[in-house]
Amino acid sequence: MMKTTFLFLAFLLISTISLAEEKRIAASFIFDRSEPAPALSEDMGVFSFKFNGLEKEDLNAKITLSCDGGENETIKLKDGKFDYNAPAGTHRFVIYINDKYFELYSHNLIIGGQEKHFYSVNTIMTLGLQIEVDKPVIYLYPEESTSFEVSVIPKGDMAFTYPKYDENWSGMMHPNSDLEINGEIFNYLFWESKQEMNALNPRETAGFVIQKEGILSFLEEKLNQVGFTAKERADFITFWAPQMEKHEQVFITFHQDADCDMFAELNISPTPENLYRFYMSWGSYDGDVVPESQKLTSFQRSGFTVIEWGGQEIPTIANTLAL
Amino acid sequence: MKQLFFIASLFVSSLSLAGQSEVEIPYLIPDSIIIDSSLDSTSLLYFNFPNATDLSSLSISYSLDGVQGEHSLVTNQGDLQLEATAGHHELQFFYSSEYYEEYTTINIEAGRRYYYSVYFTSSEMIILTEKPVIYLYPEKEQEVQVNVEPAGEFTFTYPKYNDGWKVLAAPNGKLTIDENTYNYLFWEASDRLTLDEVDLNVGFTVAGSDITRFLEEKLTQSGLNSKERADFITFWGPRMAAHDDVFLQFQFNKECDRYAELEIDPKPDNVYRIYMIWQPVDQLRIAPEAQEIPVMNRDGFTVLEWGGKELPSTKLVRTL
Repeated sequence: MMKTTFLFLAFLLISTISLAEEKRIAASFIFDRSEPAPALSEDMGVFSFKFNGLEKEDLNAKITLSCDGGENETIKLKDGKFDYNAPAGTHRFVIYINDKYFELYSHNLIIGGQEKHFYSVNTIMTLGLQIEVDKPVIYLYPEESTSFEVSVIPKGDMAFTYPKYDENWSGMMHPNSDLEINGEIFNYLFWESKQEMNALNPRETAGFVIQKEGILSFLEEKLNQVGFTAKERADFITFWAPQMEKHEQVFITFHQDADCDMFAELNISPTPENLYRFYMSWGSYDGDVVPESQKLTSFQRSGFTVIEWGGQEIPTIANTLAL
Repeated sequence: MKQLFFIASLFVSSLSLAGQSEVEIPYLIPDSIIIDSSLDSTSLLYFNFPNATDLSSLSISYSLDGVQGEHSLVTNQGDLQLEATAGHHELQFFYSSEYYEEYTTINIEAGRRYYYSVYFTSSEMIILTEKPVIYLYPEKEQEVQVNVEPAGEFTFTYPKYNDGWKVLAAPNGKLTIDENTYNYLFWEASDRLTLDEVDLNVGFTVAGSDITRFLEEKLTQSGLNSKERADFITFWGPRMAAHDDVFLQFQFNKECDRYAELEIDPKPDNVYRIYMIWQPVDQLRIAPEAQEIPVMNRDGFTVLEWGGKELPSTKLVRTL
């Protein structure tokens, strides 16, 4: 019973954690079982961690670990497992395997003296995430009223379209950008799809790190520079900015024109004189890497012009131990 | 509540990815496990309730594998103590209607003492009133002053709200501010809402796969034009279509004052406000009574506002 009292005291002593850290805890440490460890001294316990979801080549990798915010320690895995001795009490771990996995943050793990606690640790790959390509909208600006046909071939499955997409969208388009489809008037064509993507890595991707307070003015500036009209800008900003402002800091990278084929191919008939595609990938980011800056090209609006914008929120790698 | 964020769950394994806006908050935290060989083939479970402190209820109802009991919080009897054999067990806890009922399955081994903290989640939530957009259709081009008094705090406005919006409005719906043209005025705010406030007996349950057709039908019925409908459906539709089933309820006109008061000068001939409160229901347990949809009158200077709130997916009824 002495032990119980001690553990409860230890539990009450949990120190405060920074907000950024709280958010990163993905609850990947799952308690499996415990067993006595009489070989240890009375005030020492041992954690036995087993990683789930490691690729074969990483089962014996060297990993980096920090316990209770202490110095980085390098530990070699054996068959995806390792043991870690720690004084009886409460401990927190940060573990970095390599760039293929998100860094892992434990909650407070409690251990008693002469006890061995087994944990399964779920890793999460930074590659091949299922991401929604959100709200691509397509505006058509013809010089005269004429019929049109637009087809989109997304890289993943089409999740939502409006008006309803049926092999393509077709109807009449007008110079004021009104689209007439089955007797109804629309301002834009809307589609969404889900596809596989990798986590964003600000170390390797050109882009921008923007604080919450600066998001709106940043987007206004970039969209103006690129040549969005006030209406297009309002559609873009009212869709993305409220979502982005929920985070203290975000990483943003843009994709333009041919680069956007990685999300979907776009076929338009008649062929537009100018077709501009503008996508934004972004994710909450609490790291401090300064990414390489990105140059954007501007729209030329002459003749029959088509503008498409879209984007996706993608988890962003913010490894603290990898520095 | 704050404490909940400190301590991550052993049961939650999902990372919050794009599109999954809700972060699951754990409520059953194993504090420690002690091996006690004197217990033989059974185990003892101890539960303490650190945030059941607001006197709204003096006891906690619980059930272990369907066997119910009451645990008094006032007799100083300490932790709730239950006995169980090795294996899987169903647990439920209910504190008061101001908190969600919590239920889970645990797996235990024999000969152990398990200590848990059970945290209840308040059903009073701060929920965004999302994307109310306001369209103005005057009879002639004129200056219009629009003021919104949200029940909570503005979280976002566009174009920027500055003691109201002063716009030059045209009959075709074009709004000009500082030489920029807009189709609508946009605001968002967060305010407090208790689940008790939502009357689940009135509204609709709709399959996610049917949501576009459903919204088209109801919004057409209410008198929105195809562009307004497209703005509404492209905003809410994709989020709703991602669920098997959703519960939704429309609120109209005066009812929307609960979220924000709208003042427009000069006074429009007709103002139509339509808000949609919705939540995913993955197990259909309710059969609401269908709502009447009032029809918008578009005579004279007409103003339309639509918006809504997504409530988190929760147990809709008390099951204990």
